[in-house]
Amino acid sequence: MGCVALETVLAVAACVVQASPAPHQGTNVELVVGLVMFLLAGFLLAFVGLSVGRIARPNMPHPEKASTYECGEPAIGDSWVQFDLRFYTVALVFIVFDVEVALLWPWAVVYRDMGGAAFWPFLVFFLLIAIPFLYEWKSGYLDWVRASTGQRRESVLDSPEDAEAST
Amino acid sequence: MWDFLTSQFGFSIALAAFIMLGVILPSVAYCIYFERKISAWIQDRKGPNRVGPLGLLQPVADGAKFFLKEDFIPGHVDKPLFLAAPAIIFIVSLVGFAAIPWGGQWQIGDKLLEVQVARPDIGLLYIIGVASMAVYGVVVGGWASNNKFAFFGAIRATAQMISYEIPMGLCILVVVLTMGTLRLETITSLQAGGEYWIGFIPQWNVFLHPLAFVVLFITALAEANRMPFDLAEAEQELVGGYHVEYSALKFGMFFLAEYAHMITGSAFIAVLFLGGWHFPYLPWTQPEATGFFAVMCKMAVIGGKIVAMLFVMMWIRWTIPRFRFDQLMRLAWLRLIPMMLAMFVLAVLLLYFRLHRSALAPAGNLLILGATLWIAARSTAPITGRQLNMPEIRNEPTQTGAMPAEAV
Repeated sequence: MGCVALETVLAVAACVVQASPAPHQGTNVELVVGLVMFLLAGFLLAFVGLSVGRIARPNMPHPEKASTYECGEPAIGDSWVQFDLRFYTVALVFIVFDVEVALLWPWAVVYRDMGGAAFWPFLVFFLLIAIPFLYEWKSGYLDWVRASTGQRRESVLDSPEDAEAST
Repeated sequence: MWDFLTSQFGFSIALAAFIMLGVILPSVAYCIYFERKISAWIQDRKGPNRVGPLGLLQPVADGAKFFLKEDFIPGHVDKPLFLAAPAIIFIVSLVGFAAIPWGGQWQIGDKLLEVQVARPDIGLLYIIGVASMAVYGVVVGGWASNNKFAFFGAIRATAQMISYEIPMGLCILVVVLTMGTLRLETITSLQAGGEYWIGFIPQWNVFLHPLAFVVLFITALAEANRMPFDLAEAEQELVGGYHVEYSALKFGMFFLAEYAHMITGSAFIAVLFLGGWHFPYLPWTQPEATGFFAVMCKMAVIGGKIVAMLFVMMWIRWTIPRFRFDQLMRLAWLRLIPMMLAMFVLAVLLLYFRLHRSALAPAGNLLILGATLWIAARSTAPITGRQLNMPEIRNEPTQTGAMPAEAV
């Protein structure tokens, strides 16, 4: 998400700055025009639809409509809370991984022409991806549900007392 | 005026307008109709059949209803972000269309025009980057709603989309290695040209790397928040997920964006793996054909491929149940990513020995798929996976409906 998107923005920006197309190559101005046209269409559909439509649609405010929808229950507090969904590990692993994969893009384009000279550096780089990945896997950082202290699987399932106690 | 229209610049503008008004908006609207018809067909119902013949005017009625319903903004939301989210997701789902090659080249007079709005050197990268920005719409919408259901939906969507982006990137890297370019029109024409393999198989990437095609399709489902990956809006758990606080047109924009996202994804996969506008043995869809009729044929062919893939997506939605979230993450991180890393190494090795267009490629695909399934069948996940050592049930089995003796 972040990295690839950022990279694209940078690449588009580079195209605009460069803007000296060879005859058979894509004129990058068209990308900008296409981008702007589709952006404009989106904006028009969004904002004209929302503003012009206001004339046509009813407006009947009610305190119940303005309240949080939680299937009829009155909501307790708002939802802007800190919430741990084991998300930070996934996000961290993703960022590292995504940067590594993003660095492989230019390499993948030139590899065909460079052949062996590009192969061995790739192998080193790939091991730099693969070995940490295996390490993360083995250490359990990739499991969404993790055992916390005292929740180890063997201890629950192997001893009859614990199995008894849990039922 | 005619000179301007037949220059590539003017033609791109005209094409962008045509695609937007003539292709995307109607097809998005009718996607919803077909989704309902297909779901009805799968569930042995009739589906929408009241508005117009066969219910064909249903999308018009839906659109009018979206437009005319009261569009209230709840009091507790973060208003600027709440308004921005549907716009972000809708715009982002449209922008990707700019780089899709729709119909090869078109000869008008002495000019040769590309039937493609933009031909950037980084067409592939552009589409991935734009497509992956869709998560911002979901996250911003879910967070700004200030609703717990929406918040959970947004968090789920984030985790899911960033996880499935890595196998997607690796799938596309396999294609880039095989094709050696990031330009979408070159990728299409490379697949369209050349001899047929074994006399009748066109040189499409899907026949070289079928596994990468399947995984890319799976990740496209996940990126578009489609069943079986629609945990961000799971009705039974989160009532509507990230768009639960949205009403009327703003909800409609989320809804349309999902279908626009599906169409972009399908077009992208069609270009990468299914040869884009190329159809074997049809002389008008070969790269050399540049007449008006040929361009129409090519657009019909790529359209047909997109429709076929949309149909499979809808079919999957009404057939397969939803994943549990830990299963979803496990599929991405522990199955698809190692599998695609292996695929990537395979593609690199094949290219190193210059065997990247040989029968070894599909054979290697099958080998990797087999190895993955073998490993997956033998591994158990901690806590939530299949439990091989569940404690035995110690009570005697009771008669159906009869109470156990000690309970009486």
